[in-house]
Amino acid sequence: VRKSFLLRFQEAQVVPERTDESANAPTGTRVKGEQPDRVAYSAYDAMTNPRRDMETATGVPSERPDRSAAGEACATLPARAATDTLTVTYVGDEAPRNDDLRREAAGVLPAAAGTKTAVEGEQPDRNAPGESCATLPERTAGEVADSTLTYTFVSAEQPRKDERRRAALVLPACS
Amino acid sequence: MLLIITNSTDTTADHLAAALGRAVVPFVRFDTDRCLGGLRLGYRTAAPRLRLGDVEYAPGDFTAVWYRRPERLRLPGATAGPETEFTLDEWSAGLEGFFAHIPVERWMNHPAREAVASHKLHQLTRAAELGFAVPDTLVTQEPAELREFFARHGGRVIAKPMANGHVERKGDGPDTIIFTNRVRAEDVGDCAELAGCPTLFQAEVSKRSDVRITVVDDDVHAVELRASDADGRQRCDIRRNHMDDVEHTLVTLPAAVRERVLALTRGYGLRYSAVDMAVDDRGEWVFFEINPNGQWAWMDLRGASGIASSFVAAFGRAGAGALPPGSEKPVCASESATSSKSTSSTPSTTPAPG
Repeated sequence: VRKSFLLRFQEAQVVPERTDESANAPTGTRVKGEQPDRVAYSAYDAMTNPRRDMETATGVPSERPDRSAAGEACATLPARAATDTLTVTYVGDEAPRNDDLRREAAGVLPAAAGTKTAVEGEQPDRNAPGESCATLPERTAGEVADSTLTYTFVSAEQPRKDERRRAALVLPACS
Repeated sequence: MLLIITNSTDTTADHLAAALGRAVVPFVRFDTDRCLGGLRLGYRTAAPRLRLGDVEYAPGDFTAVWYRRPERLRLPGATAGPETEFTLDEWSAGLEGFFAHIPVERWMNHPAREAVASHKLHQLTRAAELGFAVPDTLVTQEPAELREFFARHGGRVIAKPMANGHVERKGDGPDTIIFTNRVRAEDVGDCAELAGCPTLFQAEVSKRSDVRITVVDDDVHAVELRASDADGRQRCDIRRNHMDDVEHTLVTLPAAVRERVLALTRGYGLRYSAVDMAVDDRGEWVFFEINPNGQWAWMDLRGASGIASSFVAAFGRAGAGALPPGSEKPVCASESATSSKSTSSTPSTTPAPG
């Protein structure tokens, strides 16, 4: 079964003799990988190459995790919507990031005096190596997982390079 | 100084470089597939520096940038592998950081703006908003919807890719291509795979001719393209047969079409664009798409246009003729770039990649 209706129309790519005119015309691939009337592959990676961004979002081998949260696996992220404020639903045992700034921005996390983080059942961000539980604000155990968290990206904060990053493209900087 | 960002096999850059040379407009050609051998990148707080051969540049030295066809960076002598990829990513990040200091308005075009302008569906929406005539368009995964669309247009429907028509295969396998094609009744009767991928269909325009419109700032070059299919009609996809038998004629756009083309181009923040339109049997101008980095030099080479002169003028207006201190003539980053004398007193702080 064909994967796309259009594939029924594919035909052999005939490479024209390379002349000044043919090399400058929008007539098809002359060298493998060269596609004239397309925005070129860019040294500008993520900033300019939407195809690559889309690949990133789908977790293909070329995926590069968010530079601001190295090691986070996109596969564990739920889908997010592009809205001015971003509603993130944590699933399963996924926990929000232990980023004080982001957590402050969230403003909705419960915190209970005397309750330490990393209590039983609570998982600090497994995906941000280097951040320790000690940096987590106090909160009540068990109230994070499976909760719905609404937060606003604050100035200079980098959302992740996946759905959240794509969402961020339309987010105003907030402080 | 004009900075040309492209690759070493870009013949369009060769074509314009020759014109720039005749006009004595200095430039640096930065071929991303060959540049790393002679490149040094450095940064001290708020002061990025790029050394090409013996000449060191600050972002402000580049009064104009022509963003053509850069390719993935290549490390000279490096074998493919994850560590090479890592190193190239580091290079990319550094170079992007340098280029990011060059104001967006100096670029023709800035790549971020090209990316935004590159979506066919949004182009159609924007064009319709601007008053262009656009073909009735359907993107669907529903066979029933296609059948209804096909019937409504009397069986005169075309299908075309939304991204690009190339099907590339790894290694030496032959590539295939998908042009704009007329949809046949049997296609509509057997289209189960439609559900697997959204496909773009349009009412077929009864074309008298195609027109390629090239915008360079305020200059607009319109070239009529005529060629016939076997049935005598204007060719469904003008790119077939490598355009060998296409007749090229410079034409003047109706004022309203010209204004809309400029509005569309500027609306996307572009200074350059290649717009595809057609004139139908009734003389109406119909919009197909806008290519933010489309080809143009072949029309110059056929004597149908003088687009290179518009580029030369634009880069001249931008003050591209200003040379950075010490550089005496154009250099090319893909070559040794040793022809210019360094006057920099601030050596690069970044070592060459290991």
